[in-house]
Amino acid sequence: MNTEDPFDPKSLDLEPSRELDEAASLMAYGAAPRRPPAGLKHRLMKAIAPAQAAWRAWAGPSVAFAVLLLAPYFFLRSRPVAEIVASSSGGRGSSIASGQTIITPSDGEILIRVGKDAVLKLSHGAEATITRKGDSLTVDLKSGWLLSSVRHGQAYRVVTARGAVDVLGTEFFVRIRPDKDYVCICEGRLRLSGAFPTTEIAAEAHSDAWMDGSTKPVHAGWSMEGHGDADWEAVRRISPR
Amino acid sequence: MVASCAIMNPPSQLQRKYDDGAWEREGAELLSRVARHKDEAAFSRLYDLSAPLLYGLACRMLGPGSDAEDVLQEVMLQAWNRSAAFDPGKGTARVWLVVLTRSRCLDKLRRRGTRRDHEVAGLDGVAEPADDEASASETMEQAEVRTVVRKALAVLPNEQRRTLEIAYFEGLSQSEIAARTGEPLGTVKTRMRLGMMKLMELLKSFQS
Repeated sequence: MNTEDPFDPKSLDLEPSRELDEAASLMAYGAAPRRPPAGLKHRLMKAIAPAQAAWRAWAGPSVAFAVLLLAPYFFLRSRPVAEIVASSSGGRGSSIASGQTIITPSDGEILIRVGKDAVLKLSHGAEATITRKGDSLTVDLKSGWLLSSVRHGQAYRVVTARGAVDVLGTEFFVRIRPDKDYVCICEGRLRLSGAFPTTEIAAEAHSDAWMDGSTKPVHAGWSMEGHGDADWEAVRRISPR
Repeated sequence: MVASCAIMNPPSQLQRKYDDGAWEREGAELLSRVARHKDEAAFSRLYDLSAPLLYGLACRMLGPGSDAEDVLQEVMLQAWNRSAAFDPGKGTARVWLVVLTRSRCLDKLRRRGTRRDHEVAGLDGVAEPADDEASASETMEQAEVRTVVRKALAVLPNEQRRTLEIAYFEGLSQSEIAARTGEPLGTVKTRMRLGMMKLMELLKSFQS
């Protein structure tokens, strides 16, 4: 038997259309209606029922299992990692979840406590994301400045578009500027890394540095870019150190 | 609150006749309920609406018996398992189920390697009397559609109607029809083309 479809629009020299399909299907009415064999419907309903029962039987436990499996992830992900302890523009007492981005208003600074591990001060007009992965804390600083006081031994990193600043037990300050970042250290040591040779700066030697993202950071001459003693004091009052 | 609304004109009497209301209104919705919720009640209703037509088609193509029953069972199971494949944008639920049924019947005919050699039954239903119980189980709208379609087919010239029926119910290709009837292939092609065009036109006029 030839498998060529005699109703294929091409063989009829007609454009394919819904009307043509409809007209062809209506040819079925040319056949007399017939009552299906007794029991066929019953067999069909029986045939689909186990499948549905099995589907229902598996659906509940599967969903429960998935929830149990994913619960720790969502719990840890949504668990607050920090809280705003002081703000000049409201929001005091608010919780901050891991991965949450904080944008400070153009006229307000905030002080953030990250558990017992760190205290951060974010400048006005700053944008930062705090993430906790295991024991380490990372702050992705997009704009503004950030002053950090970190508990000794706490793994802590500030990432900017130009590089990363790893704490080696210290109090330090990072400011994003249009052309380069400013890093200032008050105590301890910092490791600066990025697309340039990794550099360490210490409070007793180089106290601050410019980081342009491509060349080795250079001493900034203790310029105290954008911050002062009052900022340090605000952090130190509640610092975990 | 934003609300959306649709304004619909009431269908004319003739349009309602042709629309096969139960199918048009319910078919797509029933298939959607089966696809989304595996709704047994929807499947049961779909069976009641469609089985007499589909089984009648299968019997016409394969002859009454286990093959026709198998086809109906396979099509209904396919409707249960693969109803998500139905796309209301491409056609109605009736078209989808009828096409599935006819395709499975053609597969059976091909596997048999034979086909019914007798002339297909005419529109008067003498060779294939209607099943009274099945006719009774059709909705009033389905019965009306059947009447309208049969009237439309009856208006076609005898040769055109006969050619369409052989092609549709026996699944013969145009060249096979030409071989059987002894007519040139071009004549068969023309008859089918004119027949389908006229059928579309008649159905359109019933609608409007």
